[in-house]
Amino acid sequence: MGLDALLDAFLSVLNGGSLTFLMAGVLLGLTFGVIPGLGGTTALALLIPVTYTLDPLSAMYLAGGVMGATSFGGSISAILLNTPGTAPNAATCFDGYPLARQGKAGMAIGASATASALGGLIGLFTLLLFIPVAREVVLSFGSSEFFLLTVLGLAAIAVSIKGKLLRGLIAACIGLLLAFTGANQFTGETRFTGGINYLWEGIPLVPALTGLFAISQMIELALKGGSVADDATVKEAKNMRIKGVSEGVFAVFKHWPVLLRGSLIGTVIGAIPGLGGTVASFLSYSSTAQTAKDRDTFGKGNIKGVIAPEAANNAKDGGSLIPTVAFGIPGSAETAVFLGILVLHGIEPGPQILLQNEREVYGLIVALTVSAIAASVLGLIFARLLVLITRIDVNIVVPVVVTLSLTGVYVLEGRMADVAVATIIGIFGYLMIRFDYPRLTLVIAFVLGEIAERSYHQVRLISDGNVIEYMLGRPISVILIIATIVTFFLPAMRKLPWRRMVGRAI
Amino acid sequence: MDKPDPLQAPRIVTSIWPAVLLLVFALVTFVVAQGYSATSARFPSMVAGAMIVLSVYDIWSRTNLPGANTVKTFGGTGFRQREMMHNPSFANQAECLGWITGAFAMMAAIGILATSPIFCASYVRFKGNRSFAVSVGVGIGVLIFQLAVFEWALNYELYRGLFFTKGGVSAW
Amino acid sequence: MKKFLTTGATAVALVTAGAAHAEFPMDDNITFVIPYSPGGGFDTIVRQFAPAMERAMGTTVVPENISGAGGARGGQSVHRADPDGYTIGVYNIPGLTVNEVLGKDQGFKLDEVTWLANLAVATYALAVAADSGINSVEDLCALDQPAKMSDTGATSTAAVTTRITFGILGCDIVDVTGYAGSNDAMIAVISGEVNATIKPITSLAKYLDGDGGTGDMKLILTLTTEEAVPGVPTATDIGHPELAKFTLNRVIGGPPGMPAEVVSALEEGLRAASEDPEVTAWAEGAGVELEFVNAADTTALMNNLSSFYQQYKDLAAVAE
Repeated sequence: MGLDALLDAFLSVLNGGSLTFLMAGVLLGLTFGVIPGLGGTTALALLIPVTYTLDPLSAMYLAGGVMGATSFGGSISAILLNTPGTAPNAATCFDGYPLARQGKAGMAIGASATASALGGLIGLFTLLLFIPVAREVVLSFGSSEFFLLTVLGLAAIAVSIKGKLLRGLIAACIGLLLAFTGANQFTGETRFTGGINYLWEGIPLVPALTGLFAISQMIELALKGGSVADDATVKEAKNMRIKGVSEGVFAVFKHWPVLLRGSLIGTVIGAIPGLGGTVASFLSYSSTAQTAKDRDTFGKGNIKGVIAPEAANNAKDGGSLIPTVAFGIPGSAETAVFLGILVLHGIEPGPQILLQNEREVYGLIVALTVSAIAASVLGLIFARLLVLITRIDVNIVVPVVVTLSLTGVYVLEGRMADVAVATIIGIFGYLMIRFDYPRLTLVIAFVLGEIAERSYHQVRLISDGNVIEYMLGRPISVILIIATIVTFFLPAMRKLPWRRMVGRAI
Repeated sequence: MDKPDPLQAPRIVTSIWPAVLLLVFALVTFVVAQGYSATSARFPSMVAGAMIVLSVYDIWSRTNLPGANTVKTFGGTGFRQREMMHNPSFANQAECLGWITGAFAMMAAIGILATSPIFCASYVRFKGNRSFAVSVGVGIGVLIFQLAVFEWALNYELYRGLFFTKGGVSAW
Repeated sequence: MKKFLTTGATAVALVTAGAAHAEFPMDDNITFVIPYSPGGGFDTIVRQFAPAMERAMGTTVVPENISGAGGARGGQSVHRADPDGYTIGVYNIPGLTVNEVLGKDQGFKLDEVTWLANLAVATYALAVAADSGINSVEDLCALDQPAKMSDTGATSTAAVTTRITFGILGCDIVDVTGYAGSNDAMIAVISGEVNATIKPITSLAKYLDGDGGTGDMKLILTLTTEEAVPGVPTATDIGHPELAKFTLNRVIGGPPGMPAEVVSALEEGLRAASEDPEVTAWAEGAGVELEFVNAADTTALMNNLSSFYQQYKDLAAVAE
């Protein structure tokens, strides 16, 4: 099977009308990616009724086109406006935005486009390698590994915020407490809902993130006035931006270990249902920033800080198909909708999905591949135009972004309450910027909080109370424990004198 | 607004009040969490408890009490690498937050589709002091985008507002 | 078109009083509320039935996703609509029934809903890992420690079913809740994290032996009165036929106080749709068990369910 089917799928894309669906998907994905609040899941959810009238394969091309393009689209707004277009792009803001303010937006977009395309390819390639062992991969991640992964993520937060550790930890606490709101999945008890049944399912992720990043950033920008790029750098950048794009492309090849690590982290995290792109790109960023020799320049416009999260972000799409081919279960919100489309067409996705629906699965893989590349090529072509966004008067950018992102929040579920949440959290987010509490640590904690809590309680029951003993008996758990310890003590180890000497000698 | 050292954080940012508010939040959460069953209360109590301790340190580092500098160094509570380096006046901030809540209030009242062009055009005109033509242009551009993408291409009805929808706030 | 004419004629013939409704369903589009996001089981069945209803009734049926609060929000929005037949919805049954019995305020009362039909039913089975050495319920209950079960939310229908079932059987278990989805809960059985799980037979099918399944799991009990899977004992076989009351239903209802003629027109439209060849072909492929039940019987079924769960209220509640 395998390769023949893959080749068939490629050929069928190249000749025939499938390319139309794919490109339509890419354009929609880019648009939805760029606009904060709208993301891949929203685009796919909106497309479900449309795909109903299509044959399954065309629906796959459309869905794949969207999935492959959104994350790159989202990086554009992250770089240019410090506002991640989709949640996983949050980590790209760290270094992408400083680059844009230095007039190097072209370089950042070039790097992001290349890292996205290559990350996507590496992710899919890894998926093909993983298909024979996909079952084992999925089965080896149990509640214990879930819990330890969230601990690793939280540990990475603690060490990745330089200069404001205390306030970062406080923000993380707020994120965790927000995550505990709503019905506790483990006991069914509702917490902190104040009797509002909207909150039964917790504070919804997309509205919260849109408020925290898009709305709050727009308030900050509105108060700053002018345009995103510093006036002084605008003049300077006129020369920069032309060669900047290709410089960004080359930077990715120059820093290939960063690309590779990012892609692998993305694939692995993507393969674990429930964690998703935000965690993947954040872990990729923090591990790159921690191990780099020039780690002091991270957060001030280091191109590696753009490559790492973007590679992970696109690679996770390949990874999220691992549980799908192994058990017919979704690895991400996007693959969940993808499986929904199959069901809509009378196909019951199961563990035999790869055998029974080879055409659809490989169709999706091919669509993802082509889409990741097409989106990046489009991005590179239009990079110079896009950079102009940073020169637009913020008085125009602000109302447009606010309106479109609030619309996006509404469209996802059709709930005005979500728009209210985005507005309230947006104002709260602004106060965080104003009083200098880091927002990203809140988000990571918010994403991980619920999983951490319920998987801990699960392990407690499964292990009959001997949590530690149980974990030490599982190889992957042990690896994760070691990784957490290393993450925590790496910064401290660097401060040891012998280490510094070794570093100098190298 | 005079411009002293931009690295020097404004008084309000370095004052103890933000940290005090967070301490109050943590305390309230901790108390509320005690009302839940043991399993449900465990994690929220732990986190709220940790936050209480951290907030106390945060407050400490902002004072002139003995040891404050040590906390500052070990806890990393400096304000040298702030995200927001400008220092807008209170009136400016209130005005800005007013625009945002205004956008939401308008969406709630007359719907998203109607609000989009009106909000954008009036923001550009009155907050941005741009020409009438530019304002209307931006408004129309946004309206066309909303209509084309949501209402037509995806056949999705954007919210029409409390005045034009049945069910009121409970339908949110 | 012909079908539309005949159905239209039946609908008109049924109208004895109330001239205002003589035009139903031609005045407007019918909004079909789905209480969950696109892509799930509720969404899929409605999107399959909608075009078939259109063919049968000659009107436009628009599916609308109103998700939130475990399906309660969709139910509320149907509840608020005018009872003119132009707004109907699918309900999360018995999820809402259980919540109501447990005293959760869902914003509306199930006994006020005008029930129209039941479209599909899923029955439950108890499954263990194929290589586990557990071959019967007795084996499961005779383990050294209380058997561990896996479930999604603690108040999910499957979790409630699990607690009541083992309560009736008088067998001590630990229900490990909190899995992200029912697939994750089943995989926990395969990976050996837990011993067993109760899930709908149609969901379990893909992990069973034969017919495209992987053979990772085996059934040791079906919660049915008659043999559902060859060789697997039923609830009757183990002496507890009441366990067959646990089913997962796709029930359609409308706002309180719908006129009788509108109810029968919709009932007829839904019945015709459930026999539509496209719908039956889809159900075959997707493993959905269609079972049409008319309005009167659905109302009886709903009352029955309510008193059934009321009876086991203490077992249904989450033990702490």
